[in-house]
Amino acid sequence: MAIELEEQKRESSSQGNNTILITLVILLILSFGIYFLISFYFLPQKEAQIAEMNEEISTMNRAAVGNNMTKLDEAKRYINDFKVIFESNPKTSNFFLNFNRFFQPNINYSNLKLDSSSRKVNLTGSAQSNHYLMEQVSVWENEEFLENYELSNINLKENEEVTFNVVLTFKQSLFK
Amino acid sequence: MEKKQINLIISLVIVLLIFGLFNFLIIPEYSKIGEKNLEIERLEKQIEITNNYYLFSDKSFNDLMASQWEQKRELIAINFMSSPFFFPKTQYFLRNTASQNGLMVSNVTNSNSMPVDKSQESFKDKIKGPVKKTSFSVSLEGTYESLKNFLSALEKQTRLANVKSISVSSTRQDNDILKFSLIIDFYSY
Repeated sequence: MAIELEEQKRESSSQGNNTILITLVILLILSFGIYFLISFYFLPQKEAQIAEMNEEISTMNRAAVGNNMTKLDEAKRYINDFKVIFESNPKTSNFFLNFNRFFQPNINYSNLKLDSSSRKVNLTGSAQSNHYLMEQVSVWENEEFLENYELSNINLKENEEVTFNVVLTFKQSLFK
Repeated sequence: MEKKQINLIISLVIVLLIFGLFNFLIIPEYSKIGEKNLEIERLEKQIEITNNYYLFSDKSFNDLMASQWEQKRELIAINFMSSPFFFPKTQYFLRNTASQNGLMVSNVTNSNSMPVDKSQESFKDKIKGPVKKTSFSVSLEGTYESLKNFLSALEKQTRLANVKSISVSSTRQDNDILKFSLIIDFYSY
């Protein structure tokens, strides 16, 4: 009786060991399966997708777009440079268009020199009377376009004739 | 050796094999899939950005053409051409414009061209192209009205001209006829 019980115990232990072994073998086979699935199915699929996308990028119409971009860049450069230079250039004609409002008609002016970058105008003036020069100064004092004026070499003669030099500095707004 | 011991050894070997498979083959391969997914994501973004860029450039180009840029370009292109005939052409232009406005040209000379970025111009940092500046000295004779018309004509045409200085003096023969010396800067590529 005792021998029979011992044999039954051995048999059930051996069955348990076999079950573990079979389970481990199945796990091993599954592991190999996972490896082959990743290596020979998923990875090649992803690589094919990447190759397809790279192909798509390289076949995009670069030449036509490149040509458009060249023309756009040229237009941008031309428009910018033209605008910048055009707006920076002082409009000297405005000085001459407004000439009469800056000067007293009874004074003779000569040797006009206009420098548009410094906005300065050099003049030599002569008048029959000092009174006209006073009037002229009053005009300059009230002139909105005038920044400042510098009178020099004022020469009053015996016959009341007066000669002088003047440097007028105009505001930027006059040349716009 | 008993059967039990053999089974145990085989089981251990299989466990080690499974561990090795996971550690040295499956996990590295799986992380490769992660890398590939990241690369796919990057390429998708690149395609999207490139498509947007192409769409934007197409739209901008079409807008530019719709604004009749080609005709406008023709008008201002004279300023952006590098030509060996720039000096004679500009001299001819000055003589022509002066005579059209009733002025007599006695002399026109020009300096060498100078790149604007090496000049003292206030706008030099805003310029995008290789702009050069050439100064022309012009001696004219005519009436004060003619000078006004000449200056207005210069400002209304599309050549980029900047009248830098004007000197006026009278002639001895006729009080109405004056002498003008102008320095005019022209800009070109």
